[in-house]
Amino acid sequence: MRTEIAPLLIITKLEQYDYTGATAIALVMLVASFLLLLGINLIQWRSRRFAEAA
Amino acid sequence: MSPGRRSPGNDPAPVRWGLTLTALSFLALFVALPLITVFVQALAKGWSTYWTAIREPDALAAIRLTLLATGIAVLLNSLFGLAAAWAVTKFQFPGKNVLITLIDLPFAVSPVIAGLIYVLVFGTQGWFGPWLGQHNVRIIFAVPGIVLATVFVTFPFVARELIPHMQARGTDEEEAALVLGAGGWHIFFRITLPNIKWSLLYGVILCTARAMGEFGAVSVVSGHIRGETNTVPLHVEILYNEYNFAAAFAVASLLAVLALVTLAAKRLLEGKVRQDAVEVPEA
Repeated sequence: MRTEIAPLLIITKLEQYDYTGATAIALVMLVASFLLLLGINLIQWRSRRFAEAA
Repeated sequence: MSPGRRSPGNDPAPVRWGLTLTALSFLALFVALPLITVFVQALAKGWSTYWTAIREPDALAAIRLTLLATGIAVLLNSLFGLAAAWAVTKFQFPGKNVLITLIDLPFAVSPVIAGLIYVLVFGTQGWFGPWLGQHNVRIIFAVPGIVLATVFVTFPFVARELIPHMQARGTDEEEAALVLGAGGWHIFFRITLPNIKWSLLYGVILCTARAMGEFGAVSVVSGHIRGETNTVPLHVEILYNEYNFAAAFAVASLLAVLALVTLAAKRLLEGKVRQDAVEVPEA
């Protein structure tokens, strides 16, 4: 529990054939990184538009 | 110069030396030392042990598989990356931000998840699992799965490298060519491609390095069958878990050499890549 990071937890669950559990963690991480990236891209896009307008 | 105002060059000597020393010792401790350790450990039991470890059939099979997966992944991702960068930078369409985000996703998400995705799609309990089983096609725990995982993980490298350069160049030259009557392919091969050739090569190098070193994604889909679905990084892990340290470090040193070659190539190309961006003709 102390040195376990999320990807390792997925591996552990996969080795126990707990596909549902592994998928649940994976889904949370996927959605989180997608939203984070989308946010960054939108900020970048807006700042570029701002720079072009100025 | 007014008192109290400092320029980067004239900080007090202790500050300059202190910062330099801190940075250098950090690099030595966390980068140089482990790198040297790999080679020292690999050769600890002499050259003959080193050669035996590398020329062992399982190791050779792992090297072959890594080269195969890397070759396919780099080829596909050069084409896809080029197409994606072209679409994103030369055309306007709705949902572009979502597309760019999707291109970046393999960077941000853990490679283990990339492997899991393919297990869920192509595995025995996955979407296409039953169909693939009936037709006797093996993707997961076989070579195709390893190639797929490698392709996924290395997808952003070429596209990400090209997009800023193509964005900086804009579409003026292509438009000029179009006005002068050039066709689509003609424009691509005579204008677009020559403009980005160094960036493309740079992206290919980064893609190659990552493809050869990929562990997490490949580990999930490979099934660790020695001599069949074992790539070089997985082989290192197996040897290490068997307490066969000299062999593990010997095989790892191959990857370390690859990293050094990549760095050298990157260094050589960096100047050229800057040319791609700067060499914009006068408007």
